[in-house]
Amino acid sequence: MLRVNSLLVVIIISVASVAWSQPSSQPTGPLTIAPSPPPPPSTTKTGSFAPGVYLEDITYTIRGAYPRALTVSKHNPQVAYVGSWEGYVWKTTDGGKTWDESRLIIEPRPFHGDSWQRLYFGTHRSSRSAWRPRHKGMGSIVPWPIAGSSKSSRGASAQRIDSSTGTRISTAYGPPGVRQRRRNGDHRHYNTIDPGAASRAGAGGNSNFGIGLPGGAPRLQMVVRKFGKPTSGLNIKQTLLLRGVRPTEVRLVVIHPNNPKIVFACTMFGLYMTYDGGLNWIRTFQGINPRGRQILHVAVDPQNEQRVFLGTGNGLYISTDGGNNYIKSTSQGVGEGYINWIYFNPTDSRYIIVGTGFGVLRSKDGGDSWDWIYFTTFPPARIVRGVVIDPFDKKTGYIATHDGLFYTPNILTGSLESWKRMGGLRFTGMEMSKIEVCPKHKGHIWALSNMSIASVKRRGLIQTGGAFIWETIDGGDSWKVIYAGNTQGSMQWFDIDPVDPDMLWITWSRSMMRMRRKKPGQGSTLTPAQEAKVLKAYNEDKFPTLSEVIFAAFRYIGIEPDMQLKYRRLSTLKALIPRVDISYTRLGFNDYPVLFDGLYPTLPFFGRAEVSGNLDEFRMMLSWDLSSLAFNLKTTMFGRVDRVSEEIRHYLRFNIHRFYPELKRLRFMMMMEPPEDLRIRVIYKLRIEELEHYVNFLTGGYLERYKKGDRPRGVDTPWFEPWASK
Amino acid sequence: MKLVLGVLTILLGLNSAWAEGKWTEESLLARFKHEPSVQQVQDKAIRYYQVHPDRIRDLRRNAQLKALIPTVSGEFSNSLTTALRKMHDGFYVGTLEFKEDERINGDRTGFRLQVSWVLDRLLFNAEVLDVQSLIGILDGVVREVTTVYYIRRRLQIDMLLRPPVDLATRISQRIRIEELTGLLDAMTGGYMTKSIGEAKKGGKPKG
Repeated sequence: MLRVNSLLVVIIISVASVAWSQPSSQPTGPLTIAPSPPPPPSTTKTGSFAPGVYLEDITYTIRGAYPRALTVSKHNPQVAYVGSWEGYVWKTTDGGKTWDESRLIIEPRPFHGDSWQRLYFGTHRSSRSAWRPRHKGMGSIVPWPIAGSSKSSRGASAQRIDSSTGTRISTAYGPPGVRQRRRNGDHRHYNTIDPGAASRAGAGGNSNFGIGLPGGAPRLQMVVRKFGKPTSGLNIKQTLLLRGVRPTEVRLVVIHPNNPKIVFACTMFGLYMTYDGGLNWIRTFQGINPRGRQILHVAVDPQNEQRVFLGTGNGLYISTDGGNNYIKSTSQGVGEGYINWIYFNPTDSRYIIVGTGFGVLRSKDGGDSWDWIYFTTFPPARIVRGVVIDPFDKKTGYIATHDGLFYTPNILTGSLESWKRMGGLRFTGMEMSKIEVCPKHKGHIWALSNMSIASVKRRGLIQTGGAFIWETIDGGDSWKVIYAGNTQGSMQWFDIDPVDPDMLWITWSRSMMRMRRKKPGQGSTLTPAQEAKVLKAYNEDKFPTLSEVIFAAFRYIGIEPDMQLKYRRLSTLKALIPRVDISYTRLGFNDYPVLFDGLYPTLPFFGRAEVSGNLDEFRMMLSWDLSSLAFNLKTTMFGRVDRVSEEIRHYLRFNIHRFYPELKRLRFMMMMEPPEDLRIRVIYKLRIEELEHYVNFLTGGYLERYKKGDRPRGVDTPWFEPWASK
Repeated sequence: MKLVLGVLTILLGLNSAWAEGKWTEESLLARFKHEPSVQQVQDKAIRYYQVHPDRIRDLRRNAQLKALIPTVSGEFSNSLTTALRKMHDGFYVGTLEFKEDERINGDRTGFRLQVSWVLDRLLFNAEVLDVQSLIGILDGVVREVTTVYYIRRRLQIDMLLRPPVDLATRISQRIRIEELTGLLDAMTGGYMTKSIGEAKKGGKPKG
């Protein structure tokens, strides 16, 4: 035993010595490429074309957020990081079975409250359309309690005024109920919100809003609170805790090539780093302007880890102290603009290739000077999103652009004329976000495509959902789509598995998948009797369907379509119900007439009287507003009834759609093939418990009732009251 | 030095494996029995945010019954009047300055009470839907609390089954658990820490 342990120690020390050895200094002189062994031939048995390849869903224990980018650690194939659109970074240490999360929070959101206890955040929505400040510096949204509601069909404009000249720079129009206000002689204009307007902060699904009920009599409420009694309205401060912080898109996660504990997160608000493998994150670079804050890529020199290159929306930044401080590169070509991708030649890091918004540049001297090696006058084609060099011949370069894929036979010494289009016309006009080359099989390449078109409703492009992962095994002559995602959503990113490079880890906007290869003889471990039992459980309504759960939630909350139709019908019939006014008036009068007769002017008065009386009046008035029979805004498809109901339904649908299928998958997995690892098994059990609690909460215990045989289906289910068992 | 480090690494790895080996599912989950359950934390959070279903139900009922409550207005008026009437005789033109001159001083005092019902709201009041939109907050609170609760629990299990080998990571993880506990406290008014403290002193966590 001691001998074995000693041997193990020796092995570990040897490996550690190799790993801890100092990187060699950068070579000088012309580049020489060492001859590589001949690559194994590509066959149809690689990649997704190989028999026995399947997709494994690894989206467990993750909250309902949108994954954005995924990176698998080359140091440890069980470790991977995923960044999301909402600022989350998840890390797995067990190959994707469980994930731990951290969140990158940037700054508090702009928040404003009014004296009526309504909360407003930076974006404001009205009954007409979502309005976002289109121009920076439009001024803050300042509440101004204006009585009455705005009647204008288009809200006031917010103007951006040049402070030095006083001239108007730009104008944006807001929704009804948003008025202009000039503040204290400042010539800038601000948008204000009319609390009486039709626009309302809506349900929590729109996470840009704060929500509050009109809290009338705020002073009375303060008095009531002093007595420890609850008041109407929300705990506003605590609402801010949940909703008052702004996350950021984590567009890329890059792991340090030598130290797996150092990880970079490229976000739209700067560069974040962790030195402890994702437990804590700190922002190490925040740019000097908004474009500089957009971190598009980061790369560490493989031969000198102190040199870190940062691609931003404002050019290239270089660090010579391992990423603690950065200096902007002033070299022509990389000093400005978007630096989308940075690629160090793995064998000679003097050669650096960057993909930018204006083509591809190459440096032969470690970043001191740059040459343009790819450029085109066609704007989409010169937006280069990814660069990679073939690991076999170490000369062929591939780029992914917004007009397809291109390659050159010699990216290290070639020039503008050497580039050729890949895949024929297949990818023409298509945005290619990434290109990756398999290090195991020559000619085995993947590419990530996306498709955007110009929108007629708003400026810019919108994604159409045509996002795929393409694969070729013949060097780019023929391509196939190997993954197109599931239902709603789009492809976000992929990375190569370090153990089996033919397999991919894939990030879709709602989930993450891993390509796996079945081992020989691998199949179901259940006996036929056990399989039959599982199928019986599935078929015999032991688990309600997704639509049943969604409808249960609708009914529990009281917003199912039947109820909505009922509300609309009732709203229309309201016109037949009169308004009743009853009044009682009591009037008392006293009159003192004094009469003078002209015939007898000497008399002080001819006659005098005193008249008094009372008047009692009882009045009852009924009034009908019959115009609502003809048209009632609230009952229209865009009216308040539908809008609020649809908002809540959408929110419930999204959440249940996200969590209930995961619950079902986990339960079936635990029935069929429970994990052998104790930790994963316990975590999955906790996750099942978590999801059950959540779904039961939203549906009023529907899952519990379903298990016991109570299958409420009636449309008359009272809201928040137990259903009667049948 | 490297030899010592290598030996230490092996020993700690073995320790981790041994640590995992001594646990079972039941014993692992039972270790946290003294902490409040997720339902208790959820309940506390939604009460803290004043979006408990009972409250929403009350608000909804109030919105429905709002139509039964009238709008009451009262008015009090007091007016002083003076009327002057001068009558001239058409028969005796020019002989008399006036035939009759009447002056009437009066005062009027009145009060009025008006009560109005907008009865169509008994049929349907759209404000009920506005109340229902609180579901969004309710769901957000519950989801956030539940998610943070289980993130914390998973981290606790990780600390038991795979205790970190180095001090820095161990401290970082403990700080992270404290951070998550703090988040739960912020959303429940300190319930989490208070409840754990009471349980450690011997009491059960109060619902």
